[in-house]
Amino acid sequence: MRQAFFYVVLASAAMLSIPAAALGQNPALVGSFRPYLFVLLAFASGWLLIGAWVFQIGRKVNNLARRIEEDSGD
Amino acid sequence: MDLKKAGRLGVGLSLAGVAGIMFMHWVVFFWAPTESTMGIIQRINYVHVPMAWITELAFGLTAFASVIYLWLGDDRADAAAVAAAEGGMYFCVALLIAGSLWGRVAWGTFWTWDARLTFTLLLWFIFLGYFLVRRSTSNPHQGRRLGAVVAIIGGLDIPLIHMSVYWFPTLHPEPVYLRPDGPTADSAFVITLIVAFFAYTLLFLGLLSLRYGVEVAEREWVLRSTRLNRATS
Repeated sequence: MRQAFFYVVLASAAMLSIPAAALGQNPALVGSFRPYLFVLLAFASGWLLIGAWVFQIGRKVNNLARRIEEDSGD
Repeated sequence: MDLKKAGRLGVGLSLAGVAGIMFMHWVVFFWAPTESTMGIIQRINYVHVPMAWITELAFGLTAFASVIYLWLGDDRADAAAVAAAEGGMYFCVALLIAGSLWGRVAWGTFWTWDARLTFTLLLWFIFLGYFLVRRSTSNPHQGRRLGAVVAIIGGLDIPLIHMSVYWFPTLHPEPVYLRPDGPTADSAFVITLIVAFFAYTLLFLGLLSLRYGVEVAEREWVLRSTRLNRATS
């Protein structure tokens, strides 16, 4: 689970660094910051929801592994 | 497909999808031109349109797998349906959020009861019902069958969403890219959208494969432990 969290954070940071870098390089984007913020929010929300699904899958894998381990210990 | 195979395929496709999305971000923010009428806000299309495609793909797969489950009674079809529906729920929320953000700038409102928006929200609620119905009975097989019926009803909403902009034209624009007579947009916009489609689809298929593998493994474990309990009691 901790590993999944680490990968999601790492991938999110890498993903969002690209539009953030574009903001620094393209003055036209800075000129219309509010719409650009909305664009960033749209991309970030997409990534956040995909991350939420990854977490859910990770949690299911963890629960299953724990139950199998408990079972084999009985 | 066992858990190991599904896991390997899932991880491979997901990593390819993540790499594809990173490349897509570069294309969207550094390569794609800014559209002259809508300006920067048009870039939301590169997340909104692929999310719409994946939502329809996921719920379409759920409906198709549900038909197979009702027809053949194959448990794997039900596992595939659940996995696809779960992904569809997340992608549908992302689709609605991206659409709302675009609508706030383009229409001045986050939400309006436009036909396409309403049918899309309805789709999300139908599949919320799908999960609720599955858990509504103490008999899991009955829950799965009832859920499959709800999924098929939900699948009927997909063509409605698609055709709503022609049948009930209100605020939502008609398709610019996916038209029978070809896209009306410039090729740079089309290429960017194809990259986005490809990347998100790869990631979705990867996660779907992982989720399917987990579902099948969980059911096998439940079956094994039930048999073991019966044998020991």
